[in-house]
Amino acid sequence: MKKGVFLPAALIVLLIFTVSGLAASGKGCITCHTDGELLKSLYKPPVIDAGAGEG
Amino acid sequence: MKKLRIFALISIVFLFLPMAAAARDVAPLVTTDWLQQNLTNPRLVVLDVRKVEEYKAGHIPGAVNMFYGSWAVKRGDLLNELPANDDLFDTIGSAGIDGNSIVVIVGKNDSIGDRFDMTRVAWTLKYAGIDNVAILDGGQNKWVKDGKAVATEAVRVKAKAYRGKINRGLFVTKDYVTSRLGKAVLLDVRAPAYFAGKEKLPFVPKTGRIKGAVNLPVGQLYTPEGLYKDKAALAALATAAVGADKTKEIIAYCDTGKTCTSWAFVLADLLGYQDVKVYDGSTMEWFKDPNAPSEP
Amino acid sequence: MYLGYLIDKRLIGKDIHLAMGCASCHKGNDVAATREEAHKGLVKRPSDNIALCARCHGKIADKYSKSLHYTTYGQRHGIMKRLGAEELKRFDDKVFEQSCRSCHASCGSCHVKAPPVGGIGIGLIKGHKFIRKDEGKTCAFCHGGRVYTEYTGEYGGRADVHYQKGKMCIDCHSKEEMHGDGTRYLSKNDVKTRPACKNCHKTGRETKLTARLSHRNHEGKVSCYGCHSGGEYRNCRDCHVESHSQAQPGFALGLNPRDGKTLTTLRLIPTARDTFKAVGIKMERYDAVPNYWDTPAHNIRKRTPRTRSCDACHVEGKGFLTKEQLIKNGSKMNDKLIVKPKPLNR
Repeated sequence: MKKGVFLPAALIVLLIFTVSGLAASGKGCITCHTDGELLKSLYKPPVIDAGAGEG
Repeated sequence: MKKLRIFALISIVFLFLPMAAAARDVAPLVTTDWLQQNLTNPRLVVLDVRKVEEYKAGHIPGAVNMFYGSWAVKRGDLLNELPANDDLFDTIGSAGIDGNSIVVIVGKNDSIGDRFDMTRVAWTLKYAGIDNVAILDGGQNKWVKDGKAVATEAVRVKAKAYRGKINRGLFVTKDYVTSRLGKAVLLDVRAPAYFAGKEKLPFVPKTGRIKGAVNLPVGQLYTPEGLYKDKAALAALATAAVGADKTKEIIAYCDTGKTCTSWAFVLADLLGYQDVKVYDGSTMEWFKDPNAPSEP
Repeated sequence: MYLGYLIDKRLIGKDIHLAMGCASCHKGNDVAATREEAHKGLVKRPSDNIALCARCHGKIADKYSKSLHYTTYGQRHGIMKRLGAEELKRFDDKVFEQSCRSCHASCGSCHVKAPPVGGIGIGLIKGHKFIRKDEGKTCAFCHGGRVYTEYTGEYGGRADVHYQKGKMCIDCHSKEEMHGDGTRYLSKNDVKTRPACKNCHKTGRETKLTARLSHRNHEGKVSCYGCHSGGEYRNCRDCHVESHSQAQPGFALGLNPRDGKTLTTLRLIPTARDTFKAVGIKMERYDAVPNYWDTPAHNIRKRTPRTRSCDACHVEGKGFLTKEQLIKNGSKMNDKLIVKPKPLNR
C-alpha cells in the first residue's frame, strides 16, 4: 500500500518542481524579456499622434 | 651706485613676479590616468558639471556636482551669459573651491556640444580669479570607458566664502568688440557653413559673421574619438588661423558665447596666446543690431 | 523603444519580486511558446490593483490607496467649485475617471516602469528592478510640463537653487508624503507635512541686515515665492476634453485666492468656460473661483530683481498681475487678485 501511494506522490512532486523549474529556468516570459536582440526583432514602433498633448 | 644696483635687482624681481603668478600648478588638459593618480591631492576639486540626475547615477569618487546651469545663465533673451558676480562667488564657494584649489572640470562627452560646457565653466572660473583650472580630456565618458571606479554617494562639501579678483578682460561686451574692429583678430569658431553665412541656428537673428572675422571651426580641436588633438597639431591650426604672434589680441565668438570658449581656452592656456577674450553676447546679440558690421 | 521592456538578467534569482514568477502579478501564460499565447490575459499594470502589492506591503499600500497620487482627488476637488450639483454627477460619470484619473500613479509608476506621457514612455526604469526612487524618470515625466523643467532650468529660466545644491524631489517631498499618512486628502493644500520653506530657512537671524529687515517687513504680507521666485514659469490655457491646451512663459504677482491677503506668484490654470462642452457641462458656477492660483514656483533663487531692489516692486511694479494681462472671457473673480504695490515712505 505504501508503494501504491509513494509513486503517484513522487510524480506530483516531480511535476511541481518541473513547472516551477520551467518558470524559473528561463522558458516563457523571461526567455524573450531578457533577450535584447529578440525584443528588437519583435518590436513595432507605435504610431505617434502629434496632434495630442500640449500645444 | 649701490642704490642703483639694489633698485635694478628689485625691478628685475618685480618683472618676474607676473610670470610666477601666471604659472600653473596643473596642465590645462589632464588625462584620466593623471586624475586617478592625483585624486588624493588636498588642493584638488573634481568639478562635475553634468546634471544632478547624471551625477547621482555615477560619478568620479570625490567629485563635487555643480551643474552647468549654475555657471552660465539666460540674461534677457541672451543665452549662456555670466551670472552676477555675487551669485558666481556663491556658486564657487559652495563647490568648495578657493583661490588655492586645483579644479579639474568633468562633463559629459556624448557629443561635441557637451565638451563646450566644460570649457565655458573653465573660462568662467578664470574670469572669477581661479587660475588652476583644467579639463579632463574625454570627460566622464572616458573615465568610465577606461574602467575606472565610479561612486554614487553624493559628496557634501563644506561651503567656503569665496571672494576672488575678477578678470574683467576675459569676457567682453558688444561695445568693446565694436571699438576693436580692424584692430583685434576676431575669431569665429563656428562651422564653415555658418561662417560663410549659409546656415544659422534658429535663435540667431540672421546669417553671416562679424565683419573681418577669421574662421577656426571647433570641430578641428578633436580627434574622431572625441579627445583633444596633440599640442603640435593644435598649434599648427591656430597659427594658420590667427597667426603666430602670441601678443596679438584675439576676440573669440560663436552664437551664444559657449562654443567659443573651446578655442579660447586652448589658445590661452595650452598654446600661450596672451590676450584672448570671449565675446559673451556673440551673434545672438550682434545680429540684433542692423547697424553692427557683418558680412557676407 | 523595445529596451523599455528588457529585464535585467542579473535580477533573476536575486530579486524577491521576480522569484514569485511573472504570472503572479502579470497573469498571462508564462510557459507559452509564442508571444500571442504568452500575452493572453496579460495585465500590463498589475499594481493598479493595490491589493497586489498589499500582499507584502500592507501598511504602505493601505496608506497609498488613500493618497492623492493614487486617488487624484485634488483634480476633482479643484474643478467641482465651478460645477452645479447635476454637473458634478455628470463630471464624475463622464470625465473624472476617463480624463483626470487616467493619470493616477500606481505603485509601479514610481518603482518599476516610468509613467508614459501622451502614450510615450521609456519603459522599465532599471530593467524591472524595484527601485526606491529615480525622480528624473518618474516625477519628471508626469510633472514635466510644469515644475520639473522649471526646477532644473530646462524650461529656459534659472534653475532652482535647491537643484543646484543637488536636491531632487524626494529630498523635500519625502517618502512619507508620497505614500500618504492614511488620510483621504481632498487637496494637496490640506497635506500638513508638505514642504515649507520655514522648515529649513528660519528668519530673524540673517547675517545681512537688509535681508533681516525685508523678511520682517514682508512677514505675512508676501510669500517667500513673491520675492524669491527666479522668474517666468509655464502658464497653461484653453484645456478642452476633446483636444489639448496651450502654454507660454509668464510671471504674475497677485493676491493668493486661498487667503485673499498674501501677495504671491500666481499661475494660470487652463480651465476655459467651454472645457467640458463636449460632455454637456457648461460650468454654471465658473465665476465662483478665479483662473489664477497660488503657485509654489520651483525656481527659487537667493537673489532676484525683487530682492536686489525695493524699487522693482514699490516703484516699477514689475511682474504684478494687471487687468490687461488677464485672459479674455475669464472668471469674474480674476479682478480681485490684482494688487497695486504701495510706494515706500522714504
